[in-house]
Amino acid sequence: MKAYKPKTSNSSIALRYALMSLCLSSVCHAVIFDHLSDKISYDRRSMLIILFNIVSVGMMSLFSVFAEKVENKHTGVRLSALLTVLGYYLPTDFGIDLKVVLLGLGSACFYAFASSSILSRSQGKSREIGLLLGGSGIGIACASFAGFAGHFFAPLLMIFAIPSDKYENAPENGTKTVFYEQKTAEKVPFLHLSLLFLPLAYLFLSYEFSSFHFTWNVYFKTQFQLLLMMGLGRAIGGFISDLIGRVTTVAASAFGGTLLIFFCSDDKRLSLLGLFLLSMSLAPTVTAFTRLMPKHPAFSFAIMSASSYLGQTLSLFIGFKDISMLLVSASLIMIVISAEMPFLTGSEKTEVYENEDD
Amino acid sequence: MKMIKLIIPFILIFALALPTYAMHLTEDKVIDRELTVEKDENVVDNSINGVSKERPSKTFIMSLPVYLKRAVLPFLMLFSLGPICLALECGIKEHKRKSHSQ
Repeated sequence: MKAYKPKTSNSSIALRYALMSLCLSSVCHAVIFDHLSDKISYDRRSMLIILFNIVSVGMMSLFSVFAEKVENKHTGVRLSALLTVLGYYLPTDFGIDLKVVLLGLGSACFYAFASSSILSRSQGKSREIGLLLGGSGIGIACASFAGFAGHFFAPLLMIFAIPSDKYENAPENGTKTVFYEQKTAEKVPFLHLSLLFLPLAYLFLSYEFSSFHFTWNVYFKTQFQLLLMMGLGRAIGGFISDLIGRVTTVAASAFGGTLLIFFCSDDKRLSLLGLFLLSMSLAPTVTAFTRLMPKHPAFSFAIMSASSYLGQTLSLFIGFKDISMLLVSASLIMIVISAEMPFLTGSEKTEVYENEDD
Repeated sequence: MKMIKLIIPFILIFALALPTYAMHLTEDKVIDRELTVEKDENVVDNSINGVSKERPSKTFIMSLPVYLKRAVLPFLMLFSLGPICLALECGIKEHKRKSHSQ
């Protein structure tokens, strides 16, 4: 196997996808927040949001299978931008359901292809996927703050979808296809337990994020701050994880964030700091799971998104709010990440090679 | 490849039928009563992703079947398409390999 490094930086591609993620997320949620806020009953609105999530996360599984086979992944990203913009500008007379389904399909297609492209290049680094997740979070924050955000972000999304010359020369699109695969999945101790517990931990974490009930969160401004801090935490968590290590980041963020939210939920600043810290654990957790399934990076991302969806909707249906579940989720993440400790610290050998099958 | 081409339309039909199924679900009564939330322009209803948390309190056991029926089952149906495709692809590859070796 011959070691090979690409000539172009992956950061530019990751940044482009992060910005696209911001635009797409903002466009989708702007439609949901704007059109469904006052005209439709509460239950109908809830079910439409669930419908959007069902389509966007459920179809991600199918798109991820195609994404792993396609050489030029940006084609899929372009298709997703087209679907999203089509869904956004579709007149409401055709039905809000169709609008939501189109937006969901666009979102599914984008995250499948973008995560496949990013994760197949990331070599176990969390910063790229952190940027993607952070972009999504900040997009939701923008949409929650201003309903007209979609008018601004929809054309921007199309602009980002147009490839530049530099992008076209990226390795995945050139004559020489390069993939990074780590044959390390079988070396992870308690692999099956990790495969089970990591999505479970993510589910609990997502449930907690959706069911936080802060007394100070009563204005649009505070709601925006809350979502913004969560998005920033996701984005910065990836960078910090690459600097100080995945285990340290997850340990610091999970326990620090849990303690702050658990004991200082009435204090706005400390709660926001706690949310920021807790969000930092998302990118390393997704990367950890991706490394358990190195041959299917996009599908592993889809599984983690599914866990997130199930946790989020659980909070909509079940009014069981207990902040102590946060301790359970933080402990689960720590157990699984700790199980990887020998693999991460000692015997890790990253094998970078050219995938000759493709 | 022929097999995949045959299956893809069915998968697409399934994928398009499922949102319709979910849309029908939205017409049903999801919870026992609707909440009428009086809205102030500057005040949000303690929500994340636009969904209020001010729901009628229900026990875990009562809410679980509704949660499974409305949110989990249709989602799992759609999500299972990916693994089905992966399995089909692997099966077809193996079949080709066997037929080639024979």
